This record gives sequence, structure tokens and C-alpha cells, in this order.
Amino acid sequence: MKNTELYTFLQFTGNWFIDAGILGFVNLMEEVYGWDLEELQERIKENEDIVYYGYFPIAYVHYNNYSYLENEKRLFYWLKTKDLKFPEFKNALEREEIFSKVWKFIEKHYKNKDKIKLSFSGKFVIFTNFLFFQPKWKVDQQREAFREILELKNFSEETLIYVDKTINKFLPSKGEFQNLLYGKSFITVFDLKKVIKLPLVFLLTFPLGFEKLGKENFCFYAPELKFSYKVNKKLKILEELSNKEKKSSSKRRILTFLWREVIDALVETKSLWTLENMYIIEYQMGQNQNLLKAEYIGIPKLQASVLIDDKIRDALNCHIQLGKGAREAQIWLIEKFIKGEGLYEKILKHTNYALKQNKNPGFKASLYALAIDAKIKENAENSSKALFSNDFFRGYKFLVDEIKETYLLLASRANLISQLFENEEEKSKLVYPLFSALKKKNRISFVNTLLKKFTELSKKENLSPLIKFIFENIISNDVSWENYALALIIGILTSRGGENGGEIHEE
Amino acid sequence: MEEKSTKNKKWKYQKIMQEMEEIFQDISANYSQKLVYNLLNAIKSNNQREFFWEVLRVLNTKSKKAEKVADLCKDIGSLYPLSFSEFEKVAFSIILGIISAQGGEQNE
Repeated sequence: MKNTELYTFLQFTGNWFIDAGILGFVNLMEEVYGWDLEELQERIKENEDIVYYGYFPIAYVHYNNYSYLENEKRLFYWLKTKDLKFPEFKNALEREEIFSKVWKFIEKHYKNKDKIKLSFSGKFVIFTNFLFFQPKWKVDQQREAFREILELKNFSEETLIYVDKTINKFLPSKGEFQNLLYGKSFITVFDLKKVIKLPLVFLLTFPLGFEKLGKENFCFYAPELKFSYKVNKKLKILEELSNKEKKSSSKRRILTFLWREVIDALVETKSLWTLENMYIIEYQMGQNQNLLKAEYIGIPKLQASVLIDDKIRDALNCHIQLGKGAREAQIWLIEKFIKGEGLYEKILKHTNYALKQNKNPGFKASLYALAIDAKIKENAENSSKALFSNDFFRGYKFLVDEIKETYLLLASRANLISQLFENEEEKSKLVYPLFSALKKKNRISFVNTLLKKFTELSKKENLSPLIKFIFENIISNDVSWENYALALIIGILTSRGGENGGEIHEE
Repeated sequence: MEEKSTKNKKWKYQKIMQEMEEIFQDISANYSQKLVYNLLNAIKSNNQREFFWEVLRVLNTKSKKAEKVADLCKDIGSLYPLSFSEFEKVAFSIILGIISAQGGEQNE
């Protein structure tokens, strides 16, 4: 049955916890043998049995024993220093023959007091009481368990048949599958076998799919192996650099970095579709193998569709200041947008800060954020309330166009209003009551103040477009009038000639 | 249905604004400023009675444009009775019409 089965190369299944295991498998082989994804795929294509039954068990045992030692991680280096030889696998060998060769090698080099020492620290700590990790198990039992994992014998262990918390901490435990009348878990290894070959191998390598950054374990997941692999590999490099420079890898730094890498990888792999199916899975492990925190940051389709656009993404890819203080008061607009937080409130706070500091608010980022927020509010109001509306399937392309049009409208009207007033004093006098009215959501007071000012103007040449703008977007618009009103305030503020008030673009 | 009615109303507000603009083309800048001030103050205090008293009083003097004035009054009348939110929109449409009449040529 060599090379005749469905999957002759590794690919994601669409189920994130199996996929994290596949990523972990790739990482394991890279750490131990130094093969990157491409080389691993080549080897699987050449003879997958040798990879799964030969290289994998050794890599797994070796990593469990030496992952903490920087130089010993690489198996071939370790063999060289100890003057040992790696077993040879000829192409014609049967699976069982390959495995027995491998096990001889493992017993010879890793056996200690009649057992293979596994999982005393490191990433596999979550499996302490599972199969061959159990301290009481002797080498023969460990070998048989390995054979079960590799499906060289029928499953005798229940834990291997019913997949639950014992194997993957993200799943409920036996007792927690409460609505099941029969059985221990509704996921059995037989179900998983329909999805992927040797599923237990990938359930075992699951912890290796994550990168440890600080106290937390992160995995960036998109439903494409090459894409996820590239981004996670860069995440790992970031961590190594942070450790060397002794810098803390704060979540914000990771997300900022991650996003940049995601965009790079997107351009490189040309897989735009993955953007709307990305997750950041994050967990922290407690003392008793409990998951302290697991967070899935999904990027909703609407946000993803908007961010695909270069111009919008560039405009939002900046930090804006919401108050005093270097870090805490700064927000990264893209992050807030991905999380679905209202951008209007952020820009209102940013403008408030700029006003207090007598600085200019960030013009482009603020107006883009206001345009996006306005269009999302209007779209939610006008579209049908169905969960999967037609717009969902069309990919919100129209929304991107509307956002750009709205941005142009906001920018031109913001510029126009700034030209109406001749001196700084006049502008400053106007801005405070307008902003105060807006903060109180008092449309009458806002328009009142503005129109009174208009009637006092000596030059009224440019008023028409502004009047049309106020009528259409502020007076007749009950859904998002604040967004348009704030754009006018920003227009007046940025024309005062003050210094920039904190729109720091990502490099 | 609700959406259609909102659009219909928006179209009516726009018509009121345009009619006001046409009727007040020949009004002096000083008088316009005074009128707008009075009207804005009436909106601020949510005084519908005072607002329309002022508007109708001025419209009554526009005998040269009686036809347009009649159209405008019909449009305003068709929206009656006005809720607070509708009053806000009608009133600002009227004021924006007056300011537009002073605003000179369109600059788009």
C-alpha cells in the first residue's frame, strides 16, 4: 500500500486542532532534522512510510529528551558528537520492519532504567498521564503504544478510540460530553481517520504547533498549511530575537508583528481567501495540566474583506494616541477594527486628546476609520437581518467601494470647511462648542452652532457643497450622523497648523 | 415599507430645502442672517409654534412667488403632524434652504 493512499503530501483538513497538529509535525521534523516544509513534503512524496514509521518516532522521542538543549535539538548533530549512526531505511522495507529498526535505535540510545524517558518537561507536559508518558510504563508497553499510534496494531486503549481531553486539552473530558447517551466522546479515531491518515500522530504533535511567547502559547491558524507555516515560523524568529535582546514580547507587539507577516505571506502565497478564515489561538497552561486561557481571535468576513484593500489597510495600519502616556493610551487601529470595536468612539477620544493638547488629530487614519465605521453602521441598518445575507456571499466588495467614496467625500468636505474661516481664533472658538455638542450626541446643538457661524461668514462661495453634505449626512441621517460631524471637526482642527497629534504609521 | 417611507420623507425634506432656496433668492444678507438666527433659536428651544409662525410670516410677504410658496406649504402640510425628530429635519431643511439662497453659485 505504499504511496497509493489518498494523501501523499501533507495538507490541512479544515479542522483547526488537527491542523495545529500537522503544523506541530512539520515543526518537529524541522527542529530535529532541519527539514523545512518543502523538503518534508518531498520526502513524504518519495516514501511516506519512511517518514511516518521511521523518522517520526525517533524525532518524537529525541525532541522529548533534548528539546531544552539548543545544540542537541538537531539529531544529526547529536549523533555526530556521540559518534552514533542513524538507522538506514531501504525503500522496499515494510512498515513493521521500519518500525522495529527504529525501536531498536530508540531502545539503544534513549532507554534508561527499562523505560524511555519522556515528557519530564517542555511542551509535552500536557501528556504526563497519557500512554507511554506514564511514569510506570515500561519499554515494552511503550513500544506497543507507539505501534497503536502508528496503527501497526488494533487499538486496545479506549483513550485512543474516543478522542477527548486526555489527548487534547481543548476538548471536553469524558464526563463533560453530557448530552451523549452512549460512548465516551463523539469524536472517535475512526471519524478522524476519514479526514486524515494516522490522526493520532497529529494529535500527539499538537503542542508543537504553538510557539511559546512569554507565558502564553500562540498559534496563528489559517486554513492553508504553507501560509500558516510561514507566519508561525516568523513568529518563532520574533521570539528568538526578543529573548536575545531581552525584550518582552507583549501581546500587542506580537499582534503588530503578526499582522505585518500575514500581509507579507499573503502577497507571497497569493492566498487572499485565507484572510477571512484566520484565527489566533492562544493558551496558557496551569499547574495541573489545565488550560488557563484559550482565546480564538477570528477575523470576521466583513473586516477581512475591508482589510484586503491596500489603501484602507495602509490607512488603518497606524497607532493613534487616545490620552497621555506612551503605550497604554495608544491604540492600533487595525487591531480594534479586527476585534469589531467601534472606530467612531476611538476617533472621538483621539480628537478629544488632540484638542486638549492643541495638536492635530491624524487626518487620513481618522477619516478612513470614520468612513469605515459609518458604512458598517449604515450597512447593518439597511441590509436584511439574516445571518448570511447576500452581501456576505458577495464578499462585501461594494462596501469597500463605498468606504473609499465616503472617505473622499469626508476629506473634501473637511478641507472645504477649513477654508471657510480666516483666522485661528475663529476656528478655535467654533471647535469647542461643536465638539461638546457631538460628545453629548446633540445634533440640534451641533447643526445650530455650525449654521449660526455660516450666516456670519462674509465669504459664502463654498457653502453649497457643505450645506448639501450637512443636509444629506447629518440632518437626514439618523444612523451615522456623528461620523460625518466628527469629520468636519477634524477638518477644522487639522487646518489650525498645529503639530501632529499622534498618528504613528507602521514601518 | 419602512425603508421606502424613510426615503420618501428624505426626498420631501430635500424638496422643501430647494423650494426655500428658490423663494429666498432675493432676500438681503442682513435680513437672512436675522431670520436664520431667530429660526435656529426656535429649534434650540424646540418651539414648533414660534418656528412656523416666523416662517409663515415671511412666506406671507412673498406674494411675487405665490405659486412656489403654495407648493412649499403643501409639502410642509403633508408631513404634519411632526414628531420631534421630524420637526428637527424639516426645520433644518428650511434653514439650509435660506442659507443656500445666500450661498452663491455651487462650487462642485
